Amino acid sequence: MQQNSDKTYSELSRDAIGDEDLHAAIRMVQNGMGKGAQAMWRDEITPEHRRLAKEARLRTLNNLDAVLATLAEKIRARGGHVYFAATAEDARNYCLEVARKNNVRLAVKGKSMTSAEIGMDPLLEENGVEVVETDLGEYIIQLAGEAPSHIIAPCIHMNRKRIGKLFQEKLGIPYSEDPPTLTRAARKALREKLLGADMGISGCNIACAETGHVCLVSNEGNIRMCTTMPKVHVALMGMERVTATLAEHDMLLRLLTRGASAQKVSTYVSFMGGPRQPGETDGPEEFHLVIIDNGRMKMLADPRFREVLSCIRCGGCLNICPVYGRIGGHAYNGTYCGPIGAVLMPLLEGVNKHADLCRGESLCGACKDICPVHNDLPRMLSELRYMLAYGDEKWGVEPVDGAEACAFKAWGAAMSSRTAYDLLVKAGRIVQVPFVKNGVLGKGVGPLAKWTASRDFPPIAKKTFAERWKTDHAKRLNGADNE
Amino acid sequence: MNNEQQFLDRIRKVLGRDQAPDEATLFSSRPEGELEELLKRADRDRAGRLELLEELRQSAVPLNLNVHTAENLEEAGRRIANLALVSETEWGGDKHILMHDDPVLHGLKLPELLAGDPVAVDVAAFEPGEDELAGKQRLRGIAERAYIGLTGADWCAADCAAIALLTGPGHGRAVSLVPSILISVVTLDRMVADLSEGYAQLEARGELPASVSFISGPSKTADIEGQLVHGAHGPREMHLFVITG
Repeated sequence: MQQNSDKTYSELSRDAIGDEDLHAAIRMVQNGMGKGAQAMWRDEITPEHRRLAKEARLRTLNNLDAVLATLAEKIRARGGHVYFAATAEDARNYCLEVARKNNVRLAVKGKSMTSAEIGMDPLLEENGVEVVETDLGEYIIQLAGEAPSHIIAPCIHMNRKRIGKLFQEKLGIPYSEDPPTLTRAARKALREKLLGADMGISGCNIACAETGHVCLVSNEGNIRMCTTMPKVHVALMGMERVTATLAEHDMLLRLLTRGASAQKVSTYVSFMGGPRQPGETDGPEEFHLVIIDNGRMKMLADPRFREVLSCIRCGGCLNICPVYGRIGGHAYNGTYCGPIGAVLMPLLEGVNKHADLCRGESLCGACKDICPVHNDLPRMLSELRYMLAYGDEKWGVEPVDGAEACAFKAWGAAMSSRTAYDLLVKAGRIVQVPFVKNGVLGKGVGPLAKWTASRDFPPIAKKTFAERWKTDHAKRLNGADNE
Repeated sequence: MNNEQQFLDRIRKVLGRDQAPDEATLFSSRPEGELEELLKRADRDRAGRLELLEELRQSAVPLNLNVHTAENLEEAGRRIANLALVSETEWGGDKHILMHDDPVLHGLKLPELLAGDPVAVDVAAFEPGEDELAGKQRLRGIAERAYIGLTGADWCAADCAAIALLTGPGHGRAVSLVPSILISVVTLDRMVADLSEGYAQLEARGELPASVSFISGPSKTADIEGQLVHGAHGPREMHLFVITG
């Protein structure tokens, strides 16, 4: 799987917190697309629509075997090939095999997170296939040798000056920082690739089982190019990215484009369900759909996390998240970033590996509010933190900090006993005295020091609410408080 | 196949089921009568469709989609011919128009209208007896050279200004994609209010072709500092002619 850096989430986010350019870029996206999507939920999409959409997603997930079987059958009926890949390796190898059989030398790609997830490009490149990203943002990232930092706006972390210099250097055009000029240069360079490629690789936004199509949305038209002009089209699809019926597709497509970029519909919505049919004048001669598990089966099996598979990858949660707004996508250090990434990456790659990430989000609930299908990401993040605190056999999670778990257990016990709690409060008042400065606990000791390094801790009050209640309420009852 | 069975069996197992679900209920998720209701709603009278046309005009503006109305095919043909004469080629070379093989488009009589001008009009269809792969190559060459692609539309949704194109013989995918300018012609009776009515039309057909596209306006991108630029990889310009007569 794609890794951006050897640094951890904590280190990367510390770096990003000081990056003013990054904050300005994300503010632009959050103020535009994030607020736009929220307005559309308020004005155009009823809560009922979102509720029904979620219901449809869960119904599909609960019947995924039948839905996928129908999708595969319909696509095969049109002469398409369908391959079920249990692992990333299976999926990669299948694509490589298709490329080999067709003597592919140049492959063009429409933006696909799944291809990044399974590590598609390096394998093709090692085997002599040139791979070109054709979404403008992805192309810029590829020229720069970087990784995307947003699900639908991959290069928002780069400003026009950097892109101008990059194009000057890599495409040999005169320096310009004018977006139309830069876009034209990319249009020309990529058109050559799009028309010269032997294979097109795409992802899949939402497939439709009833009709037997994968469906892709794009504004640039690169995805239609990738899936129309080369003689082979390979679509990569996470096994959950499917609806049972066209009616459900209608419901979800509207949520996808609004959630992603506050558009009623994207410029292009393409349904593709097979190669060129007899009598048709164009289209690929071969069509392959690769349906990928790569860890999703485990999420499906766990009722705590099944819900996350209803995600339609609109990126809406990135456009609202205050944490993403401060640290950007690269800090998440994985294929999927933002709040959805904070849940997906640990589940895909290991909870312990991404322990920092699980504990990084603020649990403010903004991501849940904006999510078109109401994915309860805060709840799932809490589940992950619970696993990290107490361990989880099913997911192979080791508790991160035994002392912390003990402390919380003890705290839990104290909280449930009136006497123990009162004693603890009394003792705490005495113990805290040397540490209180300017009315706050600014510097904690032991494990508390980590807490107070970046925030102040309020000291225990001289009189707690419970104590005040006891005395004041008693006075009031006795009629002594009549002033 | 074996591979597939294993995969599906695993899903069944993790879902805690020992048999396949009831497909009859799974694939009939619409409430009873909803499809009929949508189709009935879409079957509006002329006044209703003219209202949709007004809505289309408004929703097209932010998309940079040019909506034109013409009383009949003759008028549309004349105006499309004029558009062809004033438009420049993007990649140099002669002016080629590539159009779908469609009775409505033939009714525009473009070859006759442009007979005296240096503009070639080609139809994206195989010639009688032509080998399909050779024909595909030939038409691809024309599509790459063409500056204008001309299509009809299965329907046009007013609220989001999207047209639907279904592939089939004579209705190739590249015509609406590779040339720099896309011109689509739709008759008033193909107007629907929104995507839901459009989806209902598709659903009512039963089987769909290998490829279906919705298109709303010229290709665009906002990948560089969020600034909107038209003309990324698809057409830079799009015109939609609605025949009202």
